Amino acid sequence: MLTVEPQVIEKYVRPGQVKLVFRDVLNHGERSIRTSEAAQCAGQQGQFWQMHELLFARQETTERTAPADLVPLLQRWAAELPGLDPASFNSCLVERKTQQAIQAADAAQRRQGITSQPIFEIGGRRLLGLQSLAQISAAVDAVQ
Amino acid sequence: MRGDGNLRNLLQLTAHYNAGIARLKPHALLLLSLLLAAACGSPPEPQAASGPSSPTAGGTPRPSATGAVTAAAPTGAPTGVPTGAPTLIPVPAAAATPIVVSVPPPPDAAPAAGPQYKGIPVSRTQDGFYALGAPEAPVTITDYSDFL
Repeated sequence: MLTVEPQVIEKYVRPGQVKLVFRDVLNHGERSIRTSEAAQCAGQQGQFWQMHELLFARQETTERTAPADLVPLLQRWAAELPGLDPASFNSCLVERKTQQAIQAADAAQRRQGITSQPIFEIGGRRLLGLQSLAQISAAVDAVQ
Repeated sequence: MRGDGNLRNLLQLTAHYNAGIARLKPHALLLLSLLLAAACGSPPEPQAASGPSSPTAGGTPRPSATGAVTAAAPTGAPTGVPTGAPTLIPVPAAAATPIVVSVPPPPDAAPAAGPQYKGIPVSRTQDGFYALGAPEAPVTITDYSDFL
């Protein structure tokens, strides 16, 4: 959704018509888990969406990085976020304080058929795969 | 009287020797000048050994430290002294064309988060996921995804 997300935010979220929820789907092993943990750890300091944007913008680097090197990479990236306390973030990430919750939620979603990504759920309707702004707009308009 | 004869003979021999030396002098001087000209006109070139055991014999240039070698044509020796091997002239390093390699910036040079979320409420779902937008918004979009 990254490509159309800024447009959705400006068109629907900022005016108060839509609430956007992000739920992790762990389909890429350790990389999925570690990046989701990083977003959750940043979220504990009120910067989930900032880390969310950064992770999407740099996903090619994440894909090329060996799982063993992900933690230092994510720590460096987190240090770029203004106002984020690196020590608290590093502690959260290294001690894996959010891992259990993330994996439990993923398991629950899989029981409900969420096994691929991206999937957009809008008003009880599921859209599979990448969607254009027009397709998302059509689904939003259908609910309103 | 016998001593006088010996003396006369000695004088004759000396005169004959001097005349011989005088005849040989021009040839000796010419030979010396040729040798000197050969020695001065062909300075020693350590990179172009011309001995038969040298791998450069036959005019094959040997690379210099800069990797660039120019082999000059053999010089004709007007003095008759053969110079043999070609002269190797190393090209100064400054004359080499520099190789410019363009390195693209690393992908993680993408800027950190922009201001697009500024002023928008953030909340959490009951099971701890993050939501962007007014909690009471009439429509909810749930994005199931990961960061890869």
